[in-house]
Amino acid sequence: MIKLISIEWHKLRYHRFFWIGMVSFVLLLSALLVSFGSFQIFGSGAEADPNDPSMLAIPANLADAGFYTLPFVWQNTSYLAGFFKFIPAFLMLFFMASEFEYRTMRQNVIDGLSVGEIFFSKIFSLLLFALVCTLTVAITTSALIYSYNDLAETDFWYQSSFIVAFFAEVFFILSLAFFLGILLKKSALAIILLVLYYFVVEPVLGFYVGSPISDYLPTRPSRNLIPEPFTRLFKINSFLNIESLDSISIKNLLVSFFYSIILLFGSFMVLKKRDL
Amino acid sequence: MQIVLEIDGISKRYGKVQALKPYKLQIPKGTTFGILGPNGSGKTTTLGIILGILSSDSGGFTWFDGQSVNTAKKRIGALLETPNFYPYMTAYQNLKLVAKIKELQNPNIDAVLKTVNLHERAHHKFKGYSLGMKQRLAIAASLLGEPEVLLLDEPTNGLDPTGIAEVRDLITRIAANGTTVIIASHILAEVEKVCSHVAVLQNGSLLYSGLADELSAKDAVIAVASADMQALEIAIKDLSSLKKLRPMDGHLHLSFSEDMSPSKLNQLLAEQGIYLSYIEEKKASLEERFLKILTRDKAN
Repeated sequence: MIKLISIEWHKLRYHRFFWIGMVSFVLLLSALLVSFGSFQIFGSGAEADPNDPSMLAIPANLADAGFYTLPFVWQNTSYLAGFFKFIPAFLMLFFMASEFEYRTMRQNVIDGLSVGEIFFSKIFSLLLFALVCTLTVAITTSALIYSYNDLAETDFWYQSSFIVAFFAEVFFILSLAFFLGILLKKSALAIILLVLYYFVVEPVLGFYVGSPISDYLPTRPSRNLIPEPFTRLFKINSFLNIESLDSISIKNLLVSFFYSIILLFGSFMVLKKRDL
Repeated sequence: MQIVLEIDGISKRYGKVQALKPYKLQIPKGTTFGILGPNGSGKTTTLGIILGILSSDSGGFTWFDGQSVNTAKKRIGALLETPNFYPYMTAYQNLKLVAKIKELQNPNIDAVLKTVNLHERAHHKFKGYSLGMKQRLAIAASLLGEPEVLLLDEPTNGLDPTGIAEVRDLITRIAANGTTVIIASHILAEVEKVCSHVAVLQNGSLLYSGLADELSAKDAVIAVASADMQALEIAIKDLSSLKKLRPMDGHLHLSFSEDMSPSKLNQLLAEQGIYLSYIEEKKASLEERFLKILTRDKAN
């Protein structure tokens, strides 16, 4: 096991693309999460009119609107970070496909690794990518919580389970990239197909088959893991003042992991069956 | 005689093309074994199967004492077709990775780089290498950990004449240390100069396997026949200098470890009351023999 990790790390550490990809991912994502609160809201600065109940105070920016407020902050940041999951996914796919393009996986087998050992060493990359993503969000969110909340009043960990959901979401997209990289062996083609499938094929398919079947299409559970928080964010200050908490659907979490495992198992079978 | 590799009926079909027909072959320990054949004859397919990167449609093969192929591969240094390395790593880093895969405790990386004259470029990235340098790095990788078996597929591919001579020298040196060397090549001169044993493949069939001497000009083969073939065979087996006896095309093909002229052989047999109906000294070069084997197969 240690040997496999050491082999995979050796492949990653000398790759400039790995460092550029990972560092830019971490920096961009944390910078966005930190600066997102200062984004202006359209029509901000309006004062509430005591004589007119329809005239409400509009917060100056998203931080004022409660973007960083406990307990919602966990959901807000992990939802926003979800858009960035394609960066590690493309990296994963690129690394996977280049092992075929340069015939290095074949060489690894000639040198003495079994196909199973190669598979598990690549799983290390997948877990590493998923953990880096998750930790970036978790650490940035923790820092934001400390600077925007009075911790004497609220529970730090309440609703932090959205981080688990974020991990599952990233794990799924990485598994999909892993599978496509192995199946297609060409990174450009695999990236195009991944984007097409995620943003076109499955939404259209989902529209045709309709609910509830559409809820079980491969990428759907991972997309639905973290509910969109913005609608509620802007309702906080509305006259209704409804503050319902979203929660993670355990069913989506399980189905999402289930699909990830299926994809990884499929990757293993393709590797095993195919001549290198 | 210990057997390093035993091939027992492996075969491979790609769609409609039978790339390799089942055949048997044993590679004895300590030999320099040439697998000879034109392009597309099944050499690389054979090597791919015995290294576990291609699956065989039938039969099997055994490395060493029946070790699993992945364990066995740690004792084998192999160079298959093109050199495959990570382009973004230096030669040194690439070899370090190979050493990790082979679980070598103290890899002789500097030594093998020196052997192939790449030590001065050891810390340059692989992607900047010329074809000849890439090939030399692949040879260096196959030498890592001083393997018991060296398996080289077209080892002089892409090398200039000096490089070819160097590699040939290197193979001879390594073979002299008792390492079993298996070379696949379509270049006869390459095999002729270094190999003690030869197998000839064409269109996926094994046409010949045996001592290279029997094929080459150095040791001539004497073909004999007589009215009583059985008595002839018994008499010949009594000759102390007999190295090899093969019945072929109704004759007995003989090779001897000492000088043996047709007239001397004739005399020895006549002394035992055996009179030959046929005697011929075959002095074909490996190339002629090779072409002969290939054309004979085509005629059939």
